[in-house]
Amino acid sequence: MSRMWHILKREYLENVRTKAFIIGLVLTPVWMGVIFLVPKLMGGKKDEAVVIVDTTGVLAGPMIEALGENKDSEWTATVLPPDQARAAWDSEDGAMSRVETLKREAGAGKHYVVVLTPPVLEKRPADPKKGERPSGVYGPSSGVTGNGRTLQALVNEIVTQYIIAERKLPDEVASLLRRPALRFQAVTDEGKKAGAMQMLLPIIVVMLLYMGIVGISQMLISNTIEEKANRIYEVLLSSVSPYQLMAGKILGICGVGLTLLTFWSGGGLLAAALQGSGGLVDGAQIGLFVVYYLLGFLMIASLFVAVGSACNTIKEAQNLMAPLSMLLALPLILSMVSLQDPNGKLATIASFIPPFTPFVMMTRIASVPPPPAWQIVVTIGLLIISTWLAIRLAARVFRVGVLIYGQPASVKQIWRWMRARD
Amino acid sequence: MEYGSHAGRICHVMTFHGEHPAVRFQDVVKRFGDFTAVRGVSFEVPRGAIFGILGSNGAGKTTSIRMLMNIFKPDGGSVEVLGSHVSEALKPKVGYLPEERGLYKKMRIEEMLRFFGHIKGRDDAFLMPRIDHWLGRVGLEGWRHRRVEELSKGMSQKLQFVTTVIHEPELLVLDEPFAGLDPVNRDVLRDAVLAMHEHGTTIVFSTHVMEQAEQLCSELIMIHQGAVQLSGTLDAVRAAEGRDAAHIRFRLKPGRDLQGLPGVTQVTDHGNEAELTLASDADTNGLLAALVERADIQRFDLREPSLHEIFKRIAGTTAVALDGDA
Repeated sequence: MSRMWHILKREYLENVRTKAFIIGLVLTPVWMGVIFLVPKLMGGKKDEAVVIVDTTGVLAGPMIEALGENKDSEWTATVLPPDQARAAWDSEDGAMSRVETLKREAGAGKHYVVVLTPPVLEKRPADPKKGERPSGVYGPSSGVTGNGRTLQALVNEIVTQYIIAERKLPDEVASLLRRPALRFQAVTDEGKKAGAMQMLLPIIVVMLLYMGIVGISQMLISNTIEEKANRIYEVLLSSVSPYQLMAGKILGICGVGLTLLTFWSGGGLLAAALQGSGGLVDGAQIGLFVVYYLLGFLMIASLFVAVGSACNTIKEAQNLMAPLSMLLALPLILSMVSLQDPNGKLATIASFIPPFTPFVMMTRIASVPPPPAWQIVVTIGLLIISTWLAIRLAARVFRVGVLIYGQPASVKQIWRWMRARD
Repeated sequence: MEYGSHAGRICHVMTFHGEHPAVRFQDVVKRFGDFTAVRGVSFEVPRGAIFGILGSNGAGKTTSIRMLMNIFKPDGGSVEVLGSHVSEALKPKVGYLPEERGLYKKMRIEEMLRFFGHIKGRDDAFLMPRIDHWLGRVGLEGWRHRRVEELSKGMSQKLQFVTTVIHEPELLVLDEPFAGLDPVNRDVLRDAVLAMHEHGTTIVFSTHVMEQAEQLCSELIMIHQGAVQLSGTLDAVRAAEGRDAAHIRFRLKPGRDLQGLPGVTQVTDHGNEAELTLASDADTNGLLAALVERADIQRFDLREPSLHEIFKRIAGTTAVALDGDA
């Protein structure tokens, strides 16, 4: 045990003392922060164009005013002169009317179109039988920023203002009408107001887990190949058993991952608490995170150590890794699916497939509602069994692989090593 | 794990002259797939000996040594080290210098030596004075806090040896220890090995360079194609192989050669020198007379056959590459 401890300690210190580690430790959160914050700081207002066709004669003015006060976008508004507006539905010799042309341009993303006709002043639909023209807000279907909804809300507001003024409603009633009846609120399971962090939590958890497991354990491939090239393993095997050596290496790198995750998540939780989003996660969630992290790491890392030990160059390792890279991309995709529907069929099934378990289960545990307790217990059980198997098989490959030079090992050869007796 | 030493000063490792040999191989077999690398090898290394395992490249030396180190498991027979069946528990008592040398390039020298001592179960109190001693001995004291990658090739080879002995092993196993060393460093290493021997450490080393074995070892085995061909003390091996040889230094007269000399059974011609294996009833005066007729003889020297010569006889033509220092 103490021999393994020395291997572990050396592996940990060698990797933690590097400049690359310290830079990664500090810069990764900075970089993440930049990705989240820069669009907000630098983005400023978005430029948008709108064409207003107003036949009411009273709404265009307040509309321009309201657009000028809009915080999210810089609006360039074009108001058709009253005579052109009235003629906007006319079409000569089967040519398209002005309104039709504008709508098509809106569909192509050139601008938004706001059509205001007298029925809108009564908040009722136009009656074609009386020759009334319909009002409407038109824009491209692909708009994700929701400026169509902004325009819709603005029109509703100025019409309300108009009605208040025109009907000479008492101030008391007027201010009641202006006030929104309610707003949507995301909440936590304790009924408290959920901050933005709460909604981002599952994404952050999966990213941490992915970096901690896949990102960190990949170090073991290059690291094992480099040490093999340095011919260090036979020297070490004269002091420790292959099993102690492999375990020490994996646990040392695991410690590197834990250091990063502790630093990052600790910093994140502290920042959240300072922002007033304390109590973001509870002890049980942290505990489960550690359990899933350790088991997932040991499984993936032993896979990587085995690959590294069977290869002599990074290039050989890449060839051997090709079939595995699918396996490594899937957890992220499955986590995103689980994010949409944490207790759906796909998320539930994926939870029981050991290589995906840590990622999918942690997404679900960080989401609302959490998965049932029996699933947590069973998935951890399955993960323990498969991790134990992975370690055993990896140890057999490692034991032979680290002493083999020259020809890269074939999959068939590796299979034979796995079946060899201890 | 402490044996025969006190922390803080360099002591002699205790020598045990008990009933158990330092190493005992009994009918050891090792196969790799269809290939049998070691076929029924048996030998014993007495405590305190300098024991040579001789053979050409691929004879099974390294495989045997790896079984001795518990890195490979034998497929048949038994391996005993220091009186007990080979196991992980023995590793702290043994020092091993593999043929393929390796160090942690990024580590600092003192730190690395401490690490190698720690995984042998030694603590800093034991190791620090020995680190001082050995770094001084191999001339690396000024490099203590430098990184291994800064060392020259010769320096790293000496450091490699220090990592092997820093925990004061009872048994020192060296696989081709002198391969790739320049003459100066070869002498430094040889002196260090002899010093360990004087302290009572049993030394097992493999080589394919017979001259080194001849200089160093007290007992030896010769392995060829995975089987022991010869074993015993150096003198016994020579006596068993019997026939004397004449070593000559010569320059041939024009048109003459060394074929068909009276009483000579085999000629090993090195160019300027040759080794003539003699029949048991050879008339050496007659031989000298015959030689003088054919060549200018600068030296004529009757000796026991060299290990090189004996080995060539055993290995036949397959051992042509013996002279090469791989």
